[in-house]
Amino acid sequence: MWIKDRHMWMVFVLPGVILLILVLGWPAITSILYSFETEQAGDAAYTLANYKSLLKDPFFSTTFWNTTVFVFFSVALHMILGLAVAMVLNSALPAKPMFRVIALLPWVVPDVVAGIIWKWMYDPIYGALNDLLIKIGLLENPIEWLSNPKLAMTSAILVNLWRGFPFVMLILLAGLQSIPRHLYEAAAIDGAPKLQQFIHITLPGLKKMIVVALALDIVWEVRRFGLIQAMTQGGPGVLTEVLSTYTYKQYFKFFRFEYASAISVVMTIVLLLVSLPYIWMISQEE
Amino acid sequence: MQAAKLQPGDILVKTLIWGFLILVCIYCLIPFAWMLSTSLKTEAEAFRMPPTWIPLKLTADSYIGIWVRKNFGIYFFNSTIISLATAVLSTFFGALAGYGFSRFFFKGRRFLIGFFLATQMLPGVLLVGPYFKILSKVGLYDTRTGLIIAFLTICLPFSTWMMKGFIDKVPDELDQSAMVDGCSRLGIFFKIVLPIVAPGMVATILFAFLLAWGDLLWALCLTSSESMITVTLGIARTVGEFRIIWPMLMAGSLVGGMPAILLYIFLQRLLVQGLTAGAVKE
Amino acid sequence: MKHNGKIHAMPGDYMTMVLFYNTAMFEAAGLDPNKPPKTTDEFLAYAKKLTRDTNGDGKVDQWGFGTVGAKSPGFSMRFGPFLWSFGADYLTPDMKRSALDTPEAKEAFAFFVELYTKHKVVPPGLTAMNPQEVRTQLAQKKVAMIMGSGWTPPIVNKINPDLNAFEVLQCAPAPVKRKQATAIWLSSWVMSPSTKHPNEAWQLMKFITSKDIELKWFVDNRVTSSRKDVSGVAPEILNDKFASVMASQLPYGKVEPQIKQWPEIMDTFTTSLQEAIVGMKSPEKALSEAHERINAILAR
Repeated sequence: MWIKDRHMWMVFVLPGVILLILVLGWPAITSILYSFETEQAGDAAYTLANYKSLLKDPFFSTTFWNTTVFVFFSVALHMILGLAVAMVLNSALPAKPMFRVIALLPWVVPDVVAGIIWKWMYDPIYGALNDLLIKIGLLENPIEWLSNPKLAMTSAILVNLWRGFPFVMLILLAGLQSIPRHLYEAAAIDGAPKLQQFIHITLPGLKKMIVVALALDIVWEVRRFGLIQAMTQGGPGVLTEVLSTYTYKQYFKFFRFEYASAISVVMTIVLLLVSLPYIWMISQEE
Repeated sequence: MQAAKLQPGDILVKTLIWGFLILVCIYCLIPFAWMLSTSLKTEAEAFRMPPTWIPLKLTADSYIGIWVRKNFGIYFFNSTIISLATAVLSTFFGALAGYGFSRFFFKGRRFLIGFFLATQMLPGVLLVGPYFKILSKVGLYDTRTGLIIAFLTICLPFSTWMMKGFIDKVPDELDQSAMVDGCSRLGIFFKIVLPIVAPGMVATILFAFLLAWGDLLWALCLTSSESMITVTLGIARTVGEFRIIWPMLMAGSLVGGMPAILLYIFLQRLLVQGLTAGAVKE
Repeated sequence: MKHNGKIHAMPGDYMTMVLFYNTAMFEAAGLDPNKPPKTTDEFLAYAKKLTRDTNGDGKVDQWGFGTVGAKSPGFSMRFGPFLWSFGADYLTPDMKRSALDTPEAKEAFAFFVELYTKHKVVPPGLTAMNPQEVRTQLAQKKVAMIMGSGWTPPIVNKINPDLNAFEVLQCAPAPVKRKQATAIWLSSWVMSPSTKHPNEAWQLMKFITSKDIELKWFVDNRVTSSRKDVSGVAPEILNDKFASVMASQLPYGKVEPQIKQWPEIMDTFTTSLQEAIVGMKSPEKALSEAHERINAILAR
């Protein structure tokens, strides 16, 4: 063949790279350029005006904080519940495949559908959840899950926990299964208690999987859109407004393309910063 | 994990574990139960107070209604075409790039791997505005092709990464010996490596399919006419209409989720392998 | 449609917002269904009487008034009549500044918020309520009164045929504080000529005013078109007990400002209203924040 084998990588890698640059790089750069334009000034004039107004926009800082809270608790709870369920499912248990399928079901539901179902469950008048909790005696009076300012974000996170923990469980279960059994057996013979086994064998064995799950989950939860959009549209007030719904609103409701671009650029920078350790770790290993 | 003698402590632990497991199952399943229950009710019963869990009057009207009164047939067709095309395209290009990254150690390889990983992190809202403009300009706004192109942005980085993980597990010696036999690189890729990683390709296609199937943001921003709507958007749109018909909405959500759920149950093992392929190395 | 040669609009349909009420529920609460509330004070008194426990379990299961509190386009249609009737307005006449700092505006805002917070005549979950949910509340006899228009009876009838909506429902002009006022629902869509994105705005407008959607409105929801040659030929509209009330309100109807910033202004306003409704802020504070923010939007 006329291409030397060591140059053949181009044949394989470049189509993907070119495609990515076309479908991703081009729009991304367009968006970045928008963010330096304003509607008043002409196309040619670049300015920092949008970023300056971002700093002054009280809704933006609230939204940023909301996103942080939403992502932090979603991911932390995904990890805890995901790990717990994975460990249970990794032990000797009858009917394991059935439980695994059940625990996976929520993840297959598109997030907007999850939002719709739960909005219906949360309904303060006809909703199933209040009815259920009252019937088993945990509640006396119906709760306004999505309208109570103290509860709205928690309710949203609970839905996101439901929808998202199976992914983490899936990844960690695979990780648990790859930890050799004999390590535990040896530890048991040495008389190490279960907690120590967990700290010294399980966690180190899962380290890599945890990083993978953590990185992907953080990125996904920052980008999560349909769930909040379907459930609260950011309300009450701006208590559940997150960056993705806020940007969407700026774009397609207010038609402030330039401003929306500036928000999404900031969001991108944050995402890249957060995932940098992950990207670094993986590409170092290669 | 042998239980020669059951100690009282073990029984407690066992009870706790089972209790936990049952609670998790309830948490997972209740929304589905409520969905199923609502979908089989009449509209009036859906608004009964207090709500009923087992419908007083069972009816399949909603399941007929989504096809007859709503355009669910069209939505399904669109979603299937779009998700499948996206999944196949991104898996094919992903496999190519994955092979390149797996087998060649060229200059800038690390950088390109970092580039692929980083693109995975870009938020959809960064891209959706420009897409709207670009697609409108080239006449692809509100078309299936436009959506397929857009979904490639979500799926391609992922597919590449998953495929690389699978290809890494195919020993390089196979390639080397085939080359000695005079086989070209492309020949090796198509005739030797792809058949071996076929299960991985299925998993990658499935994953990309799920990503595309579940999307709302892109479909919401890049389509407008009823004939181009996807299942997910169709479901979401019913919420914005003049009234929400909850039984029909729940029936639609269940039916709309079915393909994904079924694919999932049958292919879950493959999917786990795919998702973890990059992280677990033997 | 042209205004100062600057704003271009596509005409669609229009209707006036009126108060719909359930006559059977009026009777059950000891109110005369032929005497709907005329003033906002009467309206509040009626709403209180209609908020009650019907099955005797000690819990309120029926409310006087259902309305939209979500960030939905339907919100301003249902809030506007109150605001205007109190003698207030969202913006100054030149549409350059917010007019929400007037005593009348504060009064109207507080009145609306207190329906929920103080008098509790609106069902729980107000901030999540979209128009469909409010109609459902009327259809399912959870509320006795809502603001609505021509589309209300047919939709309510579809949600719950057992209600017998066309018989049981009645409508009346929006309650009055200082002057008779209501909102006109105008399905005309405008585009600012200064927008840098005419194509995108156009796509959106084309979608909203597309034949499918307009036809759907007409067939499904009995919305009268603003074109006389359409409205004039449907006899059931001319003789309708609802349509006659709505027609009588046309002279008092107001259209929302047709400016590009309107969606953002309304979103900001609803955000503040929600904060007052859920008790995060006092109505006064919430409204003054809305005032400041709307001014900031207009000054941009």
